[in-house]
Amino acid sequence: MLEIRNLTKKYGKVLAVDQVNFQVPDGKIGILLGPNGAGKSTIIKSIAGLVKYTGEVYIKGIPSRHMEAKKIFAYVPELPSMFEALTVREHIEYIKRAYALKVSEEEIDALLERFELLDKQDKLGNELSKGMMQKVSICCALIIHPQVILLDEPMVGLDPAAIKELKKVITELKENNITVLLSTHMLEMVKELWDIMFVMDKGSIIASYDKEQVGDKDIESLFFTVTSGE
Amino acid sequence: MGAILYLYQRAFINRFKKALKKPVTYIYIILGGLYVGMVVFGFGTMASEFGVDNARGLVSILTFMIFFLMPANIISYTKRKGLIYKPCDVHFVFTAPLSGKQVLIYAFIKSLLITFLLGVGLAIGGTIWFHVAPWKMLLYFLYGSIIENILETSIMILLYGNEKLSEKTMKLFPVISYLLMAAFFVIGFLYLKQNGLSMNTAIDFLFLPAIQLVPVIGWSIGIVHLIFVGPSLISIIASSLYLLSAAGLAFAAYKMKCTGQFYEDAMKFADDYEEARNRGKKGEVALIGKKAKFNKAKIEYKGYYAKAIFYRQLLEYKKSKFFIFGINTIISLLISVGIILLMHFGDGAKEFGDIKEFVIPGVMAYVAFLTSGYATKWSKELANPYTYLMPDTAFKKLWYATLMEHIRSAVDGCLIAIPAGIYMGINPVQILLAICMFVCLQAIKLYLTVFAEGVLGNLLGTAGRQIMRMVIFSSLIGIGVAGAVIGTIFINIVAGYLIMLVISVILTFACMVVASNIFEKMEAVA
Repeated sequence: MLEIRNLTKKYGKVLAVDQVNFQVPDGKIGILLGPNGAGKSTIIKSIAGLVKYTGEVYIKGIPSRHMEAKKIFAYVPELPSMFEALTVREHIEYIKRAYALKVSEEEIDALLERFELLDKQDKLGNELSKGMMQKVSICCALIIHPQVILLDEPMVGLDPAAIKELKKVITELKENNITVLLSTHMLEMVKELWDIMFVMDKGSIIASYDKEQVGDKDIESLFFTVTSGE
Repeated sequence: MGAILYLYQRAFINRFKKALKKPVTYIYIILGGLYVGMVVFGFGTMASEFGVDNARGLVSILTFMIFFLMPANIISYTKRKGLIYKPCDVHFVFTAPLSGKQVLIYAFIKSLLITFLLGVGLAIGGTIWFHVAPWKMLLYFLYGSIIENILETSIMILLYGNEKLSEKTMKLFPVISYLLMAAFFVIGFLYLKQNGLSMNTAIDFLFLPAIQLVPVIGWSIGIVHLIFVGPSLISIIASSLYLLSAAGLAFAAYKMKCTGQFYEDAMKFADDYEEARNRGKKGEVALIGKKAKFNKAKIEYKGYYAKAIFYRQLLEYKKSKFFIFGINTIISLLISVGIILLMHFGDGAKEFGDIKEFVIPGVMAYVAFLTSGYATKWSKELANPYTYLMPDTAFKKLWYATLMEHIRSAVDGCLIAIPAGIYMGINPVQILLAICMFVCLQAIKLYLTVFAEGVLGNLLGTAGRQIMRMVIFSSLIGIGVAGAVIGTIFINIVAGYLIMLVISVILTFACMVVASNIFEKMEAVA
């Protein structure tokens, strides 16, 4: 489970996130939606521990800044950035060491093959296209076998085959009782995936929907009802 | 830590393998070797000339460096700008299950490696240049590699990773550091003023016992004295205090809680650093963390197609704080003042005699050769896809995209030539010809940039392109000089000036034609 309590973040005098509270239970896919500047990235970065904030963030009941929480948490940023001098495979090898993972070479091969990176595994970070970097970023997150995974605009830059594969992966994560939080603008892409939706604007959550409760209502109509109603 | 060491190991091996495959690596090795040889020989000669080629000289130099570097490091750590993180570090290292201290040490390893290499250089240099006993240099090297690094790492962790002390308290550290540095320089200046400006007086100042009593900074100088000059009461006390402080600070750093609160500042610095690095690759001067501020301005576009490039650039300059004026403007004025001072105090008229008319063009050619030129707007045009898509000829696009830079070089040419020319009593026609020649030289350099980028691409890297540009540029200057000499010898000075200008114009035009052909075939530079 991912739990956010009273999360507040100020950049100077600007209140980017204002007393945000929400939960994403185990095995559920949470979607964070909102216009540009709503505070989605700030929340994501706060959960990932990259910015200072007030409030509390818990990953499976463990405070997010604890080492135990970091070991079970994965993050895919919006703009992936590779180590220029490391190959694709070496990125995964580094993650293996950083997280003390017991992962076989065959498992790494299978993951790379799934995202069509096996034949590119010896390419250096500065030789990869944006889409390839995004795939490497996703592979690095998945190899951790996280309990909670955070994806910030993961489909940007991916080709249709990779988007399809990523959706499959997200569904598998859900089936394995992993908590997923996804920030995106691409409503169309997450139509079939979401379980809980949080709509943000001006630093606050203005609405949240549980798919089980809203039934067949379309994600777009839910989103635009809330945002255009202002 | 295993993951961190793995990162460094693989990055080094991969960079090394990649470098071996590039032909430019071998050119750099040769040039680097020549440069190091020059420095080794030159420094030794200089040390001997100044009378510092002994232990006292070494201690003085180290004292000066420590008193400057240590406070500077403290200031940068307190501001959380002393460690270089890249966006990939934010992505993969900050989010990994590593402690805040491990993340700090990860970035600090780069500094430690540089310090280690410098330590090796110093150990060798100390023996060769300063004639210090090898065992003393080895002892200092070991002290530096172990104890000094422990202290420096501890200070870095305590300041950079601090999560307890308030911002107000943290601001005291840079203030104290600045005050210390200021006091050092002011007292030094007063001491030299009182006792006479000489190398011996400077060394005497640096040997003052009070310097060794400054907390931490002075105490480390105490160890330098202890090793190189021999024990004294002050150096023993200072060294003991230094060792105690190193142990104490290391313990404090070990015990200090660090959960990564500094990640946000480090992340911002990483973004600013990456931006400045990318702008530097394009030839721009970029300060880390400083964003340019713009005024409001309007422009009336008086033309279409390629002309629009010129008016857009003019609009951008109108929005700039200082319009087209910048650091080059100040340098040009200073050059003019320098020429005037040289003529006045150096009795230049006597020294240069009949060829004094060529002092200004000579200086201009030297400036054009040494400086990087006006690359700012042009390099941005290359990155803009519309520069290539615009429906106009490559020649016109190149002309209008560089016209603003020619205007800037004309202004700077005026600033160099007019004050100095008036002072020297140079014929106004010659002053004008010199200005025109300067504009041509700067234009040639600009078009050679296009030429180098088009011909070499990324084959030899930025440095390789710059070397190629300099080689061709110096050859072309040689042609102009030859023309000027011939004209002066066989006709007169004005004829020499004219021939120099005509050659410059022809070469400029030729470079422009070649550059526009290459530009047409170039792909946009990312």
